[in-house]
Amino acid sequence: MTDTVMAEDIPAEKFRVIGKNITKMDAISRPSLSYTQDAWRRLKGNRVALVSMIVLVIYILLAVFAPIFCPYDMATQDANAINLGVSAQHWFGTDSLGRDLFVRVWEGARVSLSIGFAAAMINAVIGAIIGCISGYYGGRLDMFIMRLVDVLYGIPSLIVTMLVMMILGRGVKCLIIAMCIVGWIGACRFARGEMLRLKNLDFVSAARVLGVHNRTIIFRHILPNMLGLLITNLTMAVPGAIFSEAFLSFIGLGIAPPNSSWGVLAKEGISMLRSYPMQLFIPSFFICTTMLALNLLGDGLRDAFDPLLRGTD
Amino acid sequence: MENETNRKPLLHVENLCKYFQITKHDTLKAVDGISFDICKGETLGVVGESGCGKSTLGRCIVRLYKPTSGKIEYDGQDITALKNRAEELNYCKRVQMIFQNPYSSLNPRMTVLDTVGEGIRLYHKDYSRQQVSDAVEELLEKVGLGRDHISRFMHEFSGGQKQRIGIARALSVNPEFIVCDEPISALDVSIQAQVINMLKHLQKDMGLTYMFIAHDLSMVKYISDRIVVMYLGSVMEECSAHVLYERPLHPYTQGLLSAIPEPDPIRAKQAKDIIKGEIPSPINPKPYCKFAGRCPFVEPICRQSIPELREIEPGHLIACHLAEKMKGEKA
Amino acid sequence: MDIMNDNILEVKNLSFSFRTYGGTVKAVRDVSFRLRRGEILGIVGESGCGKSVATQCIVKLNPEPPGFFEGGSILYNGEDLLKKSDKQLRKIRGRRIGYIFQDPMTSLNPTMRIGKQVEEIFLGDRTVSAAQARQKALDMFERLGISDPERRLNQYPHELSGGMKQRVMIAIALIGGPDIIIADEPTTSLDVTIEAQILQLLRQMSRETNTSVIIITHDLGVIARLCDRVLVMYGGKILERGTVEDIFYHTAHPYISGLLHSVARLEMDKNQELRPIEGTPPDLFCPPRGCPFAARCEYAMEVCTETPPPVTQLTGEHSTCCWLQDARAPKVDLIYRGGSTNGK
Repeated sequence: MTDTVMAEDIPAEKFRVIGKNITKMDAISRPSLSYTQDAWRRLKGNRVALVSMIVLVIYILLAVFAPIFCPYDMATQDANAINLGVSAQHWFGTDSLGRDLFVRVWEGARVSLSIGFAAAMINAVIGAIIGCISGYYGGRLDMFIMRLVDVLYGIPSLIVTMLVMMILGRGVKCLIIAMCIVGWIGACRFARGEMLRLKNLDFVSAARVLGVHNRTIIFRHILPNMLGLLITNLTMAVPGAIFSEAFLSFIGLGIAPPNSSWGVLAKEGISMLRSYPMQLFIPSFFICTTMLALNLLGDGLRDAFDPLLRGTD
Repeated sequence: MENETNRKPLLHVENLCKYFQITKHDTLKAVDGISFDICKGETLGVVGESGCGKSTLGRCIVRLYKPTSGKIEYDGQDITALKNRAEELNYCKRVQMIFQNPYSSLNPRMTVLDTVGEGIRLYHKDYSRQQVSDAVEELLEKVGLGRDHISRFMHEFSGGQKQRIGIARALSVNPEFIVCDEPISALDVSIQAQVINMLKHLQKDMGLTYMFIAHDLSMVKYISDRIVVMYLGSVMEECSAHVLYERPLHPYTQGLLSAIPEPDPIRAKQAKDIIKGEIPSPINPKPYCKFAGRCPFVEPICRQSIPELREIEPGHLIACHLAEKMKGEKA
Repeated sequence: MDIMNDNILEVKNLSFSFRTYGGTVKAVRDVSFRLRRGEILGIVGESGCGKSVATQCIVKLNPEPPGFFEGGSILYNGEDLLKKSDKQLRKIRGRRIGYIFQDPMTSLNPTMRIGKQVEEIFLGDRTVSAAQARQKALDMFERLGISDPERRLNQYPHELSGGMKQRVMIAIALIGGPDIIIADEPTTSLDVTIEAQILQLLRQMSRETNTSVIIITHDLGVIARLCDRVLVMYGGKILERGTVEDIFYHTAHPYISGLLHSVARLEMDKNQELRPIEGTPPDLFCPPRGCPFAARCEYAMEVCTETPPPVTQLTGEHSTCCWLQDARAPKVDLIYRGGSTNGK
């Protein structure tokens, strides 16, 4: 660290005054990183989140491609292949009607995952819009919406969903609608909280002083700053939606057989629990690992988007 | 700058009040009957400690808060009663604000171009992308930042640089009047002087009028022509900067001046009269002089009524029941 | 006077760095200083100069990782603190070396009554009973001018004002009867009239109890009012040290000279120009090779950018780290002539 040059050895010319050199100083040497790029870099560094992301991608790819390339069809029953275990012909075995479980699991994945993501996404959008408007404009509008949310929050959501299903009937679309009737409340509260925090920050005041319209302020200034946390919230809401679907199908209200979903598979598997436990364990395994991966990814996203944890600048 | 009595002020504030109703019984009187004038090209310093209402005052002037009562007239127009969006935008073009905290007053998701260009785009809808970019680069140069910083994000800059970006943003709409709300408090000492010098040069170049709000009396005195000393929402003293230092009459001003730690050991270590006591809360203030609780010269009359702000010498206003006595002692 | 025995604290060649994603930040580079019993030492510098990190090293408050010691020793009463175990350090922290943090709002536990937080210092000390601890707290509050001490002990932090909270912090720091108090920007967040009270209080307490104080600040006025000796830090190094008169009236380093010329003073006129120091503090990821201040120094010479300057002893207490002291360098007048030195 310290130079071992002797002071006397330094030639006299070095003692000419050359003054300041500040042009180099104001230059920023590090490459420009936008907020998203910085968050992605931090997410990549989080090994747990990275593994979770890879697992989810694998599941999604399998859900898309496995049923296409699998030689079996999900509804075809084969009387000669009832309740078989794991084998080279049937990678996950067969069920009590001789249907191949591998293709049923991944057909079921299509349904469960798409319902899960769709319901969570719709809830997030509806909740965010209502929460933002409520939080930004405040006053009586805010009070009315929040009281409504409080009332809806008090009603057990699964019961509402079941009642709606009974009216609408079964099927994917009906299930999503039913799950969205009260599912937006969580996202709404969260978005409102973020809006209340952000709208008092000085840069929003500065935009108002410039004369920027309220609408523009919400979309250009506030929403982008909320987006990271909204996405995190969304990721954490998907497991709940997947589980709701599984539960509803399990109790006979969701997807109707012979269509497949993970909940349907669990329902069919539980009657075989004593004799052929694999038929329950396999769909349960995928439900659990998917939910776990989504939660861990959500944690990782929250850390990645947190401005306080951003690297020392 | 001398105030000619027949010159119309650019900003005229009369009996401005801003109250916040905290609960049914508690009213926070942030600004409690403030009146002053600012003439074109002048710098008015507003100084005071926490709870004095100087920030609230600044925000009322730029219409972030709606006053509870009182009048604010800018160039003859009552700005508390603007009728439509066109008039509002017109006011925004003329009056801007520089904020205190460089870290929260800039949107971290935007680039310099977005931040400084927003004002330009708002008032020049016909400008092409290149024109906006050129205008932003010009502003960056004016505030001493490199042109190549235009596409950088906010988190990449230091505090001093961020404050310069904030100033460039305020200048982007070509204002006449800028409210500076503690623009240098959050900066390092060696950067403060840079920013102050820049503000002074900009004022001379562009003919700006400033309202400079700060708690650092030395810096306020340096940059201002006239100074208003606030305490708990009311004006205690108003005079020129020079007179404030030479002949401060109000006990609070005197206390402030003696409390300032000077960067000079011999002076700083001299025994000084330090005001005792805590700063009271601006919630539900008593109906008499707000400084009575801490004033070293307090007398019974001080607790009977609120003292009026009156002119005790030409250009020197003071709100104190014992004004003549204080003047006599200083003579 | 035998200086050796009078030193309560000796920091020798302390170096501390942080590992971050962008590289290693050398926050403190080869810092050495002494603190005598009963004196008030000021460490002045701007953000990023390393003053807070250096003093937090003394009580090992810096998180390790990502921080780590690159070398040096910290001798308290002759014993190296860096070699002590966590258990031994806990006995010293709080009782023998007190620490006052900058923000009184966040350094008190909002869910605990004040009295309990003050008495916590004696937790685990079997020689002091609960009643004795409470009495000590009451006595300390009275000495510090905290009005109505009985009531205060039962209050929660949010019921107190900023100035009162800071007095409570000082009480907590002093109650164990420490040898040293380290105050990190204790008055930065306070109003000016309250700041004046707190500074007066600190000086008074230090003199009465013969406690040494290290005060860290960026405010030159606070240094002038409170301190006996001063260290000036920049870019992780100490650039100049001396008595407070040395630093203000016999300035020998361009950095502190630049600061003194850039601060607005009450007696200044609007027409007088402030002479700011251009540029920004150095990047500690890649600290400059020579003097850390060279890039911003108007008297910088070629040697300044290449070789770190040696320490030049000017008087008994006053030394500076600057190539301008070399015989071959031009003679420069750095002293601020205004204020008390006007005409001297």
